[in-house]
Amino acid sequence: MLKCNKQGQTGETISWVIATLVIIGILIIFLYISSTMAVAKKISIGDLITGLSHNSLVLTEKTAIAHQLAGNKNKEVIDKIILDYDKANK
Amino acid sequence: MILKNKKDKNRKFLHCTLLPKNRRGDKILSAYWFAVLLIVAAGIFAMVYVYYGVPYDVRNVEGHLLINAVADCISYSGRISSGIVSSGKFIQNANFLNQCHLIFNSSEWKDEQYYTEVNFYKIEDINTPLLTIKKGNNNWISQCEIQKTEKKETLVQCSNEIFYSLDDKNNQYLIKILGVVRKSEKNVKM
Repeated sequence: MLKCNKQGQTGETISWVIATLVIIGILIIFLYISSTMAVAKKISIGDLITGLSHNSLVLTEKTAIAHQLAGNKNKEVIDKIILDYDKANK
Repeated sequence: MILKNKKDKNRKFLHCTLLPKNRRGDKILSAYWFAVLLIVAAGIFAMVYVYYGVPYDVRNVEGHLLINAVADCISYSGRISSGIVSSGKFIQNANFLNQCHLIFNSSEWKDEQYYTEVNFYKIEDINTPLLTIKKGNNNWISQCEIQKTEKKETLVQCSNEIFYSLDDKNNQYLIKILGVVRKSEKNVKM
C-alpha cells in the first residue's frame, strides 16, 4: 500500500487548531468588553456636568443669584454647608 | 534493487500528486469552517445581546431634572415663592407642589413612579426643617434609606440637592430637595 508523507498535513491541522483557539480567545475578550460596557450604561448627572460641584447648574445659579441679592452675607458659611451636603450625597 | 526503489518512488509521487486524492480531509475542513462560522456568529450574537440587553439607566438624570423643575417652581430669581413664605412667615400649604405643573401619573405605570420632598431650613440650623412639602408616591421613600447602605439597582434612584434662597424680607434659607424616581423595569435589567 502506498502512503503519502503526513508531516505537512499534521502541521496544517495544528495551525487550524491554533487559529480556532485564537478566534475563540478574541471572541471571549470582546464578550468581556461588551459586558463591561453594558454595566457602564448608567448615566448620572456627574457625567453630564463638569466641575468641582456635584450640584446641578440650575441650583448653582439660583444660589449665586441669592448671594448677589443678599450682598454675599454669610456666603462662606452657606457655600460650605452646600459643599458638605454635596459631598455627603455624592 | 536501486531501480526498484526508484520505481516505487515514482509511483508514490504520482499517487500523491497526480492521482485523485482522498476527499475525506476536504469534508472535515468544510465542517470545520462551518463550525468556525457558527462560533463567530454565536459570539457576535452574545456580544450584541449582552450589550443591548441592558437598558440605559437614566433615572439619576431624571431625578435631577425633577429637582430642577421643583426648584424653579419654589424659588425664582433668588427669592422663594410668595405662596410658601410671606413676610418671613411660612404658609402651611402642604399642596404647594400641585401648582408646579408636575405630572407624576402615566398610563404606562399603575402607580406613580416619582416622589419629591422639599425641606426649608434656616442657615443656623440645617437639621430641623421649618416647612416640608411633598408630592408623589411616598411608598418609595423607604427604599432611599436602603440605598444609603447598600446600592441596589433595582430599587428606586434617590437624588438630593441643596440650594440657597431668600424670602421677601431677605431672610436666608437653605432648601433641600429630594427627587425619587422608580421606573426600575425600564432602566434596569430585572
